[in-house]
Amino acid sequence: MFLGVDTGGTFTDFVYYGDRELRFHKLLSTPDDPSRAIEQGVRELGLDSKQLHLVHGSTVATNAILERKGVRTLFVTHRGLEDLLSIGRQTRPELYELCPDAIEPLVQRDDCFGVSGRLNAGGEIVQDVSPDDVTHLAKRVAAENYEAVAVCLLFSFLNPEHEDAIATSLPDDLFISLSHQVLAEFREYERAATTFLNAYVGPLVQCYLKRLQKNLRPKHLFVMHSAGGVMQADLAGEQAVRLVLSGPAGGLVAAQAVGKQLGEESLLTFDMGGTSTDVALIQGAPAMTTEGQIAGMPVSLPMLDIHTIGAGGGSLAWMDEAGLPQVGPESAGAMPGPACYGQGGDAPAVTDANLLLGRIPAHALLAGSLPLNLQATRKVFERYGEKLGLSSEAAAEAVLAIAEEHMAGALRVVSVQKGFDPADFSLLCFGGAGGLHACALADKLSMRRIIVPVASGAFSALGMLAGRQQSEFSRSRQLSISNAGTTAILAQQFEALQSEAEKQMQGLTLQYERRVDMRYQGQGFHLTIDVTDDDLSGLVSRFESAHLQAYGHSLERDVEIMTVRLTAFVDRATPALPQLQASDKAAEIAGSSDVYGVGRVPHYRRSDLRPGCEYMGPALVLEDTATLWLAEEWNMRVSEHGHLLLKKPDKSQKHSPPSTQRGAK
Amino acid sequence: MSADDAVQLSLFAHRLSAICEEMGAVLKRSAISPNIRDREDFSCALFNRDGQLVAQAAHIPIHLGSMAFAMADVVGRFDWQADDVVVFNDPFLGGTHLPDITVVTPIFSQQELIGFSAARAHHADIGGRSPGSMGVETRLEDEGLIISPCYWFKAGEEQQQLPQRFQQQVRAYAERLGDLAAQKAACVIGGQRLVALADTGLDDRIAALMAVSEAYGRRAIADIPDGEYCFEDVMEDDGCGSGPLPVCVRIAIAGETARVDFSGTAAQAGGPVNCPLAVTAASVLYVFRCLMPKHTPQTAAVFRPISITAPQGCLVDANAGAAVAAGNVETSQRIVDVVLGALAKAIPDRIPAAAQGTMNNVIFGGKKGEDDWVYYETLAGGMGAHAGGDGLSTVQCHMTNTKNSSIEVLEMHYPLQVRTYQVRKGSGGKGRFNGGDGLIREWYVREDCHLSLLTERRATAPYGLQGGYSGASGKNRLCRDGVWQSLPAKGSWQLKADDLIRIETPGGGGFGVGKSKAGTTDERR
Repeated sequence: MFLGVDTGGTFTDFVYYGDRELRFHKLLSTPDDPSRAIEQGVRELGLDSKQLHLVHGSTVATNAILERKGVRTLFVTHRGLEDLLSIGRQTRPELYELCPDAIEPLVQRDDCFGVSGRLNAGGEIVQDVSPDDVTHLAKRVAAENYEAVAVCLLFSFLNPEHEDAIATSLPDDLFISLSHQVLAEFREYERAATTFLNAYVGPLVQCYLKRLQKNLRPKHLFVMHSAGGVMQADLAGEQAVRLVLSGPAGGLVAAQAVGKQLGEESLLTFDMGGTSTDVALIQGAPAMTTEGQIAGMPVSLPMLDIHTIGAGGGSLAWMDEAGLPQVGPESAGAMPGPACYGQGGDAPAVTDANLLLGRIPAHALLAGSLPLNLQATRKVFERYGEKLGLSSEAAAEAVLAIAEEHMAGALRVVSVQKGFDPADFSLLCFGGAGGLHACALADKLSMRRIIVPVASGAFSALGMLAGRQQSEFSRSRQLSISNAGTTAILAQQFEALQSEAEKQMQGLTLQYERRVDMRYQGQGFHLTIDVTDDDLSGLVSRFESAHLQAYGHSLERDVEIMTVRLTAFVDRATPALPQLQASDKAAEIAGSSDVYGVGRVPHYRRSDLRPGCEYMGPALVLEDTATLWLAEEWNMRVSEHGHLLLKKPDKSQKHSPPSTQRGAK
Repeated sequence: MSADDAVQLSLFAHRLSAICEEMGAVLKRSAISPNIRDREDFSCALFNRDGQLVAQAAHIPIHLGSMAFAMADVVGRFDWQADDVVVFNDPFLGGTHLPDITVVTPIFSQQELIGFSAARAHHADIGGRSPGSMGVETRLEDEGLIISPCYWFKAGEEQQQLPQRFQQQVRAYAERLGDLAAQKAACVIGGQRLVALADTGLDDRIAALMAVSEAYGRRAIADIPDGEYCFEDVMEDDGCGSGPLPVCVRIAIAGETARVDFSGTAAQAGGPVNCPLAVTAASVLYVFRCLMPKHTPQTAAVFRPISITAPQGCLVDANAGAAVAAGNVETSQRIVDVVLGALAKAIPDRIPAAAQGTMNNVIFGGKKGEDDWVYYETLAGGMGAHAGGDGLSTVQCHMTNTKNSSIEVLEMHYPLQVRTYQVRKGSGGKGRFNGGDGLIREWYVREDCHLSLLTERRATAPYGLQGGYSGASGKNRLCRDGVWQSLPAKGSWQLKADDLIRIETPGGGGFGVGKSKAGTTDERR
């Protein structure tokens, strides 16, 4: 019996899988203690918690960081470098802001502690840590009631002796994060920040998961981590910083699973919410990054490369100094929300534009229950249109076009900027507001296929069930490919990481994926390349073609390995989605309404749609919490598992004249 | 402009700036030298066929204005063909200072020239007399290889002359050529993306964007009360014994236009603190850009309502041949200080007290076996306080926003050890709101090597406003054989193993009269 739970949003989503049956449930979240909603949901679903294999997407770590509510943490580093975290990379956040607001660092200077001792760049001890410093540190920790300590010393990833010595001197019941354990990679600021954040939220995550374990007593408790795998609850407590993308990761894992099921390995995912939109690229597996950030601090552990922009259904439209229409970044938020929420919103939001144009039918209910206020929407667009010199409807179309340009821009960042052509991908669209813009975005990016998966409203929770148990291990070692000994050292490194994995994931049958970060000698950025065997020349040629793909050129230069990476995982079958009964009879038209610029269009209820028939745009497909705008020239069928598959027929193959002739006529 | 056009233009402007962002991503990730890939000391831009800036990513301010100012001269010199690549760094022909090398490619759509893409990056060396090519020299030719705009590729064919000159004169030339290749790759991407937009009427859309964007500049100036506002500050020295050197500005605001005149500024100096007019323009335009809204498109047209004049042969409009290495990185900061100081008299609530007013350029160099090594860093300091609050501490100010190098990366590559990297507590000027603090960085030198410093605000201090105190001046110090000594603001030295170099950067000026906070030891201005 598997239960996936995502507590991230306004609602806590449940997806239950047992006895070949899939059940969904939704409850208002309980942000002060997310576990209450989980317990209630388990009761309402009538499940015996002791039989449950529970997989949880938790925002406890993320929220504590964003709301600056982590525990009192002491940061320990070298004397003279205590300000490492507050200096950061020395840059100011806004280039053209003369009077920026002050930035309050997460760690105060008084909570930073310097010790003696240094290693050189080869990991050899140049100066020892003085025993006096260690004693002084222990006293300080005891006297000031620190709940956690983060230690980051230079080159500790080459030699952990000093960090270990400091840890040994501290009380056992203290939460301690050592940088060589959290992230054994070079670049001290990024490693220090990751280590600090781990300590800052670790005790909170531990405490939360213990409580959940105690109250619910599930058979297994797993948590989804930022790299899209799941980890055991006790490990999640120790490595809390790995949870910063715990919620959103579920959506990508589900997307990957759906893509696999449909035989679509190349996906651009699009998750549009009220204030922000997440996009990502999947090619077989989701793209990963080690350059994640939260609250202005780097988190350099491998995580899913999810690109977020501040544009969503609540983004507000306005007119700038030169008379150009603009959308966002300001958002109507939940209060007052868009004008159509009828809570006093007096500026046009993207959702209002959809309503005014009829892409959200006027009788639709907000979150499935509240009626929408079309009058209020009309009023704000009259005013906005007047300002722009456009009709209300033309102004609304402009708002959609600009909002969609922002979103297409985000999709280009994860595809075009990495050397991928969106035309080779399908757009997989989930979350509440995405379906209204999917066709327009696909058109903008020359994409011909869209997938709106089943359970797209609880997609992240669905992903919890699909995630495999997995952990990432890494170590920075600079290795020149041209050195004779490299093959042997590389094998050695992988062996060391493998025994680390076996220690951490005891008693499991592990499988491994091996990768290395490679770059041309001297470059500052790497590409992560799969290691399939011990043939180094094959590795180099894969690196070179990846470089060509990503940056458009390759160089005549030596190649080096900077970091060795191992992913250890347990293979297990993903719960299968139930199949829908096919039917050659089209679903009944559930109603119709006017869409601006198109005319009267039919409505379908998504729950009525069955595999076997094809539907032509324009049409609206309605769900309780989402609407899909199937634009003209697009058609739609339903997969055997209930995914909506949208397609735009390629007309140019039929009778469009070659473009060169067009001008001649 | 019709309302429909306004919508199309808004979309178009977003697309163009996204193209420049993408160019930057390509350059950053494929560049070789730490200065470009880690410190991000580069900028990417698109130009129309006349060399007018039409879009630029928000990279480095000093690059923004200078490219906007000088590209038109460069593109007029060639009869462009597809797959040409032109390279230049001549400060008096489109450049800023010699280490900033610009790569330009023309963009053709169906055999028609539609514009240019350009990538400018600060290279760690350009073959000057001292490693890093940022030493104290008195002639441009001693600062390094001068590249007047010339072909690197002509119709796709590599011209050997340029690589040969690098090989002959420039330290670690292979690294330079790798970086140039990355710049070229960025330009090619920019070209491809613009061509993809070139379906119909690209020219018209660019022209319309230029016409509209002028309004952002006009509106920003209209918000400043009419009048004449003057301010004066100094460059403390030129590194060759002359100074202080006054920098004077008189800004005349009339309706929607501004005239910025530098009459009264010192004559050009012997040392490398001179600016070509392009650098001066970049500094002035930066300040006005800050007064425009965040979403302002980065086109040349936003700056049309601003005219800049300076006496020829003065510090801020030096004659060809003058040494300029520090004009770009130091004098530019002082130009910002005086322009802000003048505008503070017109719009006191919108202008901060002086920021650190220097980039604290520190260049180490030496030999590692056969190979040369050069390590270049600029250090953050305090920003000025303002009517709304304290200044930011330990950030890059105004004309630069480059990142620091990782201590581990630099200790892996160079015979240096960073001993101290701290906030310089209390260095921000006191006031109702305090200036931001500077920082302290200390390098222990493990092997004999060479050091150049180009710094300012060592003898003077960043000014406070509205009764706020000035920020603390910076300090440069050397410890040899256990004895500390002061180093001058600018100069080059041979260092010995076991030396310790300590740089303390200036704090920002304070703003307003404080309630109970004590002032620093610095003079109230």
